[in-house]
Amino acid sequence: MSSLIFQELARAAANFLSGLPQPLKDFILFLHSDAFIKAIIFPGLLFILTFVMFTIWFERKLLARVMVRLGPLHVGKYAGLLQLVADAVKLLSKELIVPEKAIKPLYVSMPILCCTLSMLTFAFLPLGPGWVIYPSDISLLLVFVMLAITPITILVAGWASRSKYSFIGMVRFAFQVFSYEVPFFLAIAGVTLAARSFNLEKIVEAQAGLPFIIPALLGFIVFLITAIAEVERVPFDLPTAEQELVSGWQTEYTGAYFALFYLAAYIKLDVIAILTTLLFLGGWHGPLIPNIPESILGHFWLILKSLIVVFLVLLLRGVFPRITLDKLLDLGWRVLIPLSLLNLLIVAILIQIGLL
Amino acid sequence: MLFRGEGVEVVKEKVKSLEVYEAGPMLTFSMGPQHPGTGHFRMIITVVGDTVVRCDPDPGFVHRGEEKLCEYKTWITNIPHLERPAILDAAGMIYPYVLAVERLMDIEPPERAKYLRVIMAELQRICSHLYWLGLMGVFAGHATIYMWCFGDREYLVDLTQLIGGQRITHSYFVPGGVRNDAPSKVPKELVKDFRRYYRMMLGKDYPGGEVPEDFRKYVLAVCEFFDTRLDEYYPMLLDSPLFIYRTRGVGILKREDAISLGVVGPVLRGSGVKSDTRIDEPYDAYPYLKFNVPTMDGCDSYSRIMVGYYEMRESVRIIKQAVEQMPEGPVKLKQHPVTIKVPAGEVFASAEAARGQCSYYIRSDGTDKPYRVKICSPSFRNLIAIPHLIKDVRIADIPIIYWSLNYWPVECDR
Repeated sequence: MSSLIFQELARAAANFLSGLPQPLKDFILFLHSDAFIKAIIFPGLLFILTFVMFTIWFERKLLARVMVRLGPLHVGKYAGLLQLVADAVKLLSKELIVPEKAIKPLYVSMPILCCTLSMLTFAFLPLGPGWVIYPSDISLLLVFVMLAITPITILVAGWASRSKYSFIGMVRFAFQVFSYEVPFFLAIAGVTLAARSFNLEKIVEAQAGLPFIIPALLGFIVFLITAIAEVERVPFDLPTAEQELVSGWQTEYTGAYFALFYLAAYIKLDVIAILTTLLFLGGWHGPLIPNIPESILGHFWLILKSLIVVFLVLLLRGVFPRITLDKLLDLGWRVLIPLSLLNLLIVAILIQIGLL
Repeated sequence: MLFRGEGVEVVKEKVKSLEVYEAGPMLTFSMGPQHPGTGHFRMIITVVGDTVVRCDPDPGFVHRGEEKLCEYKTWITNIPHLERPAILDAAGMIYPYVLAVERLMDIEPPERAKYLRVIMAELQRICSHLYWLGLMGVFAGHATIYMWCFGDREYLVDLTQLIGGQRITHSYFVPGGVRNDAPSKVPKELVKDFRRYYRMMLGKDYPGGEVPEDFRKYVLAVCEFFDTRLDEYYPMLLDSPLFIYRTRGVGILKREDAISLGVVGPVLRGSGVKSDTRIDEPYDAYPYLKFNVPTMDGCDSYSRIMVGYYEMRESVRIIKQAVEQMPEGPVKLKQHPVTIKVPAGEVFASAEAARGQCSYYIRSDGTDKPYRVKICSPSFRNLIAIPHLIKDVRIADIPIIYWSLNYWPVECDR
């Protein structure tokens, strides 16, 4: 009986669709398509926003625990879960101030660009076998293109603000990019060598037996340190060091512009966490768990591993003071580059003797 | 967009205004008075690249005219407002004033009052130093130690409130004693709260289960607890390699420079000079108590902050001894009316405040109001070290050096 009703309904829907004009029909089919669901729901927008909101809430609660305070408590039913929504409403309701001497078109467009580019990175990150918005053979390179472009928006934002503190913060950020970018890319070389591919899905498949953290441990350490510098977290938050430069390159940004930069920073943090999982921690591979259905097991492991990386990165903020610029350059050029080259050598030798 | 159909002169003007950064290799910017790294105070910094070549301190944003105000208020009503320049260290700020007035009136407070004053002064010293240490963490980009220090400070402030009736600025000292005696029993809620906090921080119950309600024993318990907490600060911040890298060898004030610039307090002792008013010119109960004056030979920011850290240890020692030795008896000679008359004459008195030696010069003409009051506060004497130290350093070192001097703009401006 019920199946008959469904058949009837499906026929009615098909009739309704065929009666519609062609563009509308295409649009409805598009909403129903695989690509749209991927882009908007799972590896896409909704997932990103949920993950970022969770990260921010988690950071506040975790740091509160470290510092023996309570953290957000009142907004939302449980433990201040909706505090971020309240913050967002407050920031968005503020007046949009553009400084008099700022270069307005650049000043206004950079936060939007920064946020968009950071989000675009998710298009190339597979969050499960086949769960990627834009499948590509060079997805790792595409991710790095995105990660390498976002600093430019920040540099332009600092320059377009036309403020002295923004200027100093921007110069600091430029130095920071100089010091971490080279070891960052070198640390990846070992992984691509071991997997013999730039495709992130193939890299994860290559780790089915052994995660790359074991043969490329040095690469993992270098990658994690440089990744923290990439997302400007403590101890590498010197471009926005509050006690030195008010707020560094984002001094002049308020309201919605600031919210966009804030969002972009946390999106980048999550990108880095997922990327670390994909490259070194075996991605979605993990032992079977009885109560979790197999269809979401891969996602479960991937997200769990990424959360562990996020936890590590967040914890650093409670433990370390800020580093200085000369120490950062020293670390980048004298320690991390040799280490990443050594890592490359080790991986090459392992491949040569047939262990990888 | 910029050159929309205007004359050459206007365009030239506009191009010039575009260069917000002054032409040439130098960049001058103002650090403060609205800056997270300074407070009510401004430094005009000139940098070449990342190196500071010049620093002009610009105090005076919080000048309150305390010295002039003293001439319009009576000897007793001067006490509350004289505490305001350094509210975290009210006892240290008012101590020399009370000593000076006592010297003019030629009176001596009772023994119990002397001990109570010492306890109060040392409690305030610890509170002030905790603020210093906590903010030092923040200035180095380390927020955790700030929260820890402020959490622990709460129980010492509660002690202050118990004795003096106010968390800060208690106006506890009066010429000829203290305002009131310490209570013999501690309120139950406070004891309960302290027990909860003890368990939370140290992960175990208070030894023996019950925290004593007797005042003497409660103070000892808090001191013991605070001593344990000081042990935990050391690995968290002071022994952290990054913090040592940030502070050691930064802002070196040589022994000779420290003496010739005339700095006082932890800044002087951090340069290896053993100078402390409590030892050099002992007053009140200090001669009866045993304590060390910590000094460090490093002469840098790290030495200064470590001197502050060890001073908290010594203050705990002093409080423990004072509470145990404190005799029974009256706490003031007599209740003065607000309009006491002080014999004519002039006097100079100094005491060791948290930030260093605080001195008062007072002249009386025999009426109920002072003729002149001049204050020489420790921050005022340490101010001169700022342009001396912030030179040829990196921008990142400015907050570290500035805060290692424990400079308090309000105290300096008076």
